[in-house]
Amino acid sequence: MKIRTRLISQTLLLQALSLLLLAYGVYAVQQSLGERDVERAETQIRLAVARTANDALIQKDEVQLLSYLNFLKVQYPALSYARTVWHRGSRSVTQSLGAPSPGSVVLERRVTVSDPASSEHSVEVFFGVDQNLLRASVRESQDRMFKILGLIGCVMAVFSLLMTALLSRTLSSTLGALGRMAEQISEGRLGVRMEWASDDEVGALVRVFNMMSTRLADLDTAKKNFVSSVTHELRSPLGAIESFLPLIRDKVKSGDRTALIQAMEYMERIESNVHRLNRFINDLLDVAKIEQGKMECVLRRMELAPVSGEVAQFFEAKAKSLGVTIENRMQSAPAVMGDIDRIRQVLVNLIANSLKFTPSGGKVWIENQALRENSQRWIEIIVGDTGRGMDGSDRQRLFQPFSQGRNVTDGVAGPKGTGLGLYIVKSIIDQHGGRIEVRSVPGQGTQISFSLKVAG
Amino acid sequence: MASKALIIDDEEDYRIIIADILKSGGFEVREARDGAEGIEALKSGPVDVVLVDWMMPKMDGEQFCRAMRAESGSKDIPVVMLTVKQTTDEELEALHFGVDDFLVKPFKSAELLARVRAVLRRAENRRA
Repeated sequence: MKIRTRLISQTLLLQALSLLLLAYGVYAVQQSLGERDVERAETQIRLAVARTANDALIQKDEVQLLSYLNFLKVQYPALSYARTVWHRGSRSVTQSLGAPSPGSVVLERRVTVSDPASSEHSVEVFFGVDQNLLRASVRESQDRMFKILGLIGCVMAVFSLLMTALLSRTLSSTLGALGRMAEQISEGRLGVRMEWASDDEVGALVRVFNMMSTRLADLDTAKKNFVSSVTHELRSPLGAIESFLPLIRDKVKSGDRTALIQAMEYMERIESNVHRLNRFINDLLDVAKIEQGKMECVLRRMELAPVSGEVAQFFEAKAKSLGVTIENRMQSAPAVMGDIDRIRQVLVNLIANSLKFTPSGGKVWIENQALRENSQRWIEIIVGDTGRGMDGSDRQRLFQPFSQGRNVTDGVAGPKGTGLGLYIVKSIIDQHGGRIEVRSVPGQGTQISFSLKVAG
Repeated sequence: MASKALIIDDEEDYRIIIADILKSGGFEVREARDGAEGIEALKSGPVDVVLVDWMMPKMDGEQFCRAMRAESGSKDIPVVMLTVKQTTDEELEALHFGVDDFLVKPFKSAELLARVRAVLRRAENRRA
């Protein structure tokens, strides 16, 4: 059943129930038309008579009293007759008005009012109350009340039905629109949005839907970017190799000496492209491990100095060719807990990066310092350079895979990076429980530091 | 007289490869590393044909083409776009910004020379 139908039918059921309850209430009240209601009605008549008598007494107007009482008789049909007795000293005057209709049950009541100024002056009013008419009048006023109640009940029922219909219409149209939106998303139209300005649950649902749609679109873009980055990184060196090979063949065939020298040069280029492919594939494998949560580091007690010395040595020749000096400023430090191969990989990545962005005449260095946080001792290793540095937005993207903007590598020597290195570095340090931080000033240099626990 | 070719590619390997092929085909070759350098190179001397990579930093192949077509001195020079993209849509799109022919990386030496000579011949016919 549709939500709308269900809502309306439930409202109708609820209304029928409450109308039934109302009807039962009316019935019950009518049944228990109590003596107290009758008494109250009679007291009302009594009070009216007394007030009238008092007014007439103050005005000392006998005729006025009778016409007042006549007026009351119209207002209260149960007042069937009245007889007034005026006392002035020893003298009394009796007057009457109306008579009990035959066959009715009339009870006689008496009201006495005396002038507080002169005790000699008083008026007695005897009046008959027709019990049947009294009951009838009580019942009549109750009936009027019930009619009003019934009317209010009906109006409310109609209103609530209208409101429900309206609400169910908005609800079902929103849900329908959300459903269509979800359908569109499932058909691959990611990033569709829905406009809905309200602060209620429906608005919240629409917001969540919009967020989901945007995130799906982002993920899709990320996937496409990943695929195109990988494709580019694989195809570019492969294509170069493929193009170099026939050139080499032709040169070798020609047997010319300069051609042979050129062929040798091309073979070196092929070699560096093969290295580049290899590095990229290794990085990809690491990224795959990270994404699957399988990047595991085996933490053992290790000395940092030999590793940093080895890495610095490894880059010595490369640095020299770039006109950059490498300084290994590591001071003796306690052993740390680390995966020696992974820590070497981290240092290689960081120094390769520094070299790439440091112009000729610059400096790249490794240094360390001891830190203490609560009871844990840490060694912080810093790789610094006097390179071009980076701004805030670059710093933010630094550790994201494939985040290397093309403009980042503008005018930079050597092959472009894959944008995976620092992502892997961060994952390795995360696995060690350490922290990685970047300090950088555009144009002045960058320092990347990471911390490792001291072996206890 | 040898035709003068301008190679614009951010990847050194490809500049070397294309230069080698063109030289073996009897061309005079100049090189630029991105679109901006390419525009400079166009201003600094006569060029008969341009080979430009699509994906480059700073100014990519498309921006370069538009900039080059806007200059009166270079608006008629034939352009061969080098690309790893291969979709027809993108090729069609590129025709709008004034590319004369396409070459998908990696390419054969003979194909490169044939296409470059073809666009040169068409350009000469247009002028005649």
